Amino acid sequence: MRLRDLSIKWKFVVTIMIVCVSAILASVAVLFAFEYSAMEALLERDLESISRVSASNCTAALTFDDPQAANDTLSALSAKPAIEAAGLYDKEGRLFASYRRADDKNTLPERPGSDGLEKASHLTLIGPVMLKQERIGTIYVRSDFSTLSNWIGASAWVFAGVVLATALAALLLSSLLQKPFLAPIVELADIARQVSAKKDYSLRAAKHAEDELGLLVEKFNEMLAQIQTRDSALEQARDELEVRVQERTRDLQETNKELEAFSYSVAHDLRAPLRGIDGFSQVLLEDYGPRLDETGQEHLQRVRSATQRMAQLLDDLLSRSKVTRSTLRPSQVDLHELANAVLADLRRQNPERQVEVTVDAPLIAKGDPGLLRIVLDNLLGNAWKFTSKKERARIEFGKTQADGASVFFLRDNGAGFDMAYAAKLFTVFHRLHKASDFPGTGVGLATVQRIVQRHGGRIWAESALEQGTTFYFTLPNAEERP
Amino acid sequence: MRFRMAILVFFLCAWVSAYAEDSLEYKVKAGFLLNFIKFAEWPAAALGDKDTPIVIGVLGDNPFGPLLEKTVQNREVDGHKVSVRKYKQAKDAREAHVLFIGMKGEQLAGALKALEGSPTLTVGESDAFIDAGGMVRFVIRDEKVGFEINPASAKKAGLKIGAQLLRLAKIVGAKGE
Amino acid sequence: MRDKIILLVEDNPDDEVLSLRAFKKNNVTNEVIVVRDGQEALDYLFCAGAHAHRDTSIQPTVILLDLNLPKIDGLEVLRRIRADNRTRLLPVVILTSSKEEQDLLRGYGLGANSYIRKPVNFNEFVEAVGKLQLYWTLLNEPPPHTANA
Repeated sequence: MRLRDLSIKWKFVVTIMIVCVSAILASVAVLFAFEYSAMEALLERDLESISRVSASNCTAALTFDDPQAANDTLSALSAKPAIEAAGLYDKEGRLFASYRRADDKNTLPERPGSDGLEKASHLTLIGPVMLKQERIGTIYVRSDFSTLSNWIGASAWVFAGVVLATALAALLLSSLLQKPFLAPIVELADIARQVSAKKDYSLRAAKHAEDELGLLVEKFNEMLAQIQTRDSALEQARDELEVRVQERTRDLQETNKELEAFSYSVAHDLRAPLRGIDGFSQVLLEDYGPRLDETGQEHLQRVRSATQRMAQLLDDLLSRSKVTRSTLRPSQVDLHELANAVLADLRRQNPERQVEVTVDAPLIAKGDPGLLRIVLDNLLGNAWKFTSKKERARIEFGKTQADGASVFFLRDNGAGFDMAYAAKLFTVFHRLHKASDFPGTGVGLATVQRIVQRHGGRIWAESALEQGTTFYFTLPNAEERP
Repeated sequence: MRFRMAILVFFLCAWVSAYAEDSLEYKVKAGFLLNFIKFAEWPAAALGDKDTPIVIGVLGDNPFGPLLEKTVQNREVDGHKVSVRKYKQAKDAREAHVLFIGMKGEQLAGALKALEGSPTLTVGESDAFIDAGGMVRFVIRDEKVGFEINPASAKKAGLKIGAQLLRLAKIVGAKGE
Repeated sequence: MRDKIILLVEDNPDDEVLSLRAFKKNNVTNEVIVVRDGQEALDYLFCAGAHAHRDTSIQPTVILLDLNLPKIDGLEVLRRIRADNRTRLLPVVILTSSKEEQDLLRGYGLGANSYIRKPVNFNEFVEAVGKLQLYWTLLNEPPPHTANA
């Protein structure tokens, strides 16, 4: 875990500790250095005074040539454990008396060097032995640094203890002191976390003081309140919208039901009177035919054919509404087979017609077989119908590619139409030909378009008068999977 | 004649060698006399100013011959010149700071009596010197020259003898004290 | 042919006249009983109401049933025919103007023997009625009489 990812509380504690410990370390280092040099100076002064005392204690022995006495005097140095060795030299530089600590391995120099203090692996002091302003000899004192190293050892423990105690005190104090600073921030972060996790904007942070943190808490709470207000407004709007949608859906469903009921009654109730009109027209013709002149009989025939056209119209409308209402049950369909079945029906109805028909095989599509049958009924029926006046009627049904997609096409060489009216081709009840030329209700293509659209497809036509027509349609749900 | 000559040479040699022995001993003793000055302390009045020399006196027999003069020649102690004087009368010797007394018996006792009250460090080598009231007596110990000191009589005379010197000496007291 | 009665359940007087004419044109000699609503149809079949005096042993050979009927509709009539032991085996042909999928499914579901949509063209209607009569009264073997008991 990196420091910057620590909780702010620990950051605070760690920072305070770092500051305190480095401050105390710096002080301890300075103190140590100062004390060390003081100790060193003390050691030197101590050595100097030792050598001076020893020298002055030995003056008589030296003067009266009593090395025994001098040795006795120097042996008193054993009370100073740091002193390794000492030597007393006479005026001529000959070793007169000496002292060596039991464990000392170095020998005393044959002759004393020049006066002075030498600091190396040992501290060596060479000085004069004076008597009444007269130099009567030389003293040599050698000391180790044990005094200094003992002091370092002892003071290191003390300093380490001080540093440790400071660190502990810093930890304790910063843990106690961080509360008033950081408690509001920690609480704020906690509230923010809860708000984010529970999406509960009704939570509020407590304000503890009128300082910057207090302001932060206040503004945070204000923000939450704004979000809450906006949220509830949004929720209300959404609820209202939902209610409205439900109302509309209900309205639509009711309207749909009414439409269905209407269609049903059209099917049922309008057919019955039509049957009456047709039936009784026939009765009239049969029973009273001879009493009517030719024109009268012709009028009655017109009444009958009008009723039958109306019956056809009603049927078409009904099947169109059925197309709209029935649920789609798609499956794999071979349009080639379907087309052949339709064509067989057409040939049966008009056995006298000679039509050259080409149907590609197979033409696999995915769709509702019943509805696709209605599509082919209408399109092939149209082609059949509009080629009836051609000497060499030709119908072609197949599949091609356009814009990278499979497109079915149905081409005839029939009457065709003016492309200026292409837009109205699929409008219900809209016909581009006179009924006397080609019978029809104007519902078929509208039904076909509805079916293709329900399959997610598109239908369009290309034509020119007397040049024939080509219908194109796509069935996206029918795309072959590679 | 030849025989007499040989005997003469023999005696001469013996005397010379005895003198030579004596002379080494007294040369050391002469040095000691000088060095005593360095470890003893006189009352300020006795020492006078720097121009006043410190006097080493010899009363009675002089065993040093010329050695004492040689020893002190050109020597200074604490800025004072050192001079050697010979005295016939003890009362004259009161001016000496250090006085070697080459006397024995009644003669010694009289001399010491005459020196009483004078800040003079008295030095001798006769056996009874300390008992007679002398302060420092030369002795031969382990073939080396040493000395005995009676600090009490020195103190009586107003002299302070340095602790270091006392440490080298055998401390004695006069009989009857 | 007294025992081969055709029961026509039809509320539309025009259709009744045209139906009877169609029978006549096909030289149908069977007795055709016409009832004009669902209630009357059931009364006739179960010898109740106005038909209480009727001989219950005589039941129609085929029932031509319209669906859109006053009082009790055709499908309900069919359900009751199939629910009663005396009539459950009687052949019932639904003769109606509806081609609704729902009506077809419910009709067959309740046990209709056939479903014919009345054509608007009278000539076609006459032809259909002729075929009906021929099939149900002459070609078809009715269930044994004992089952009607």
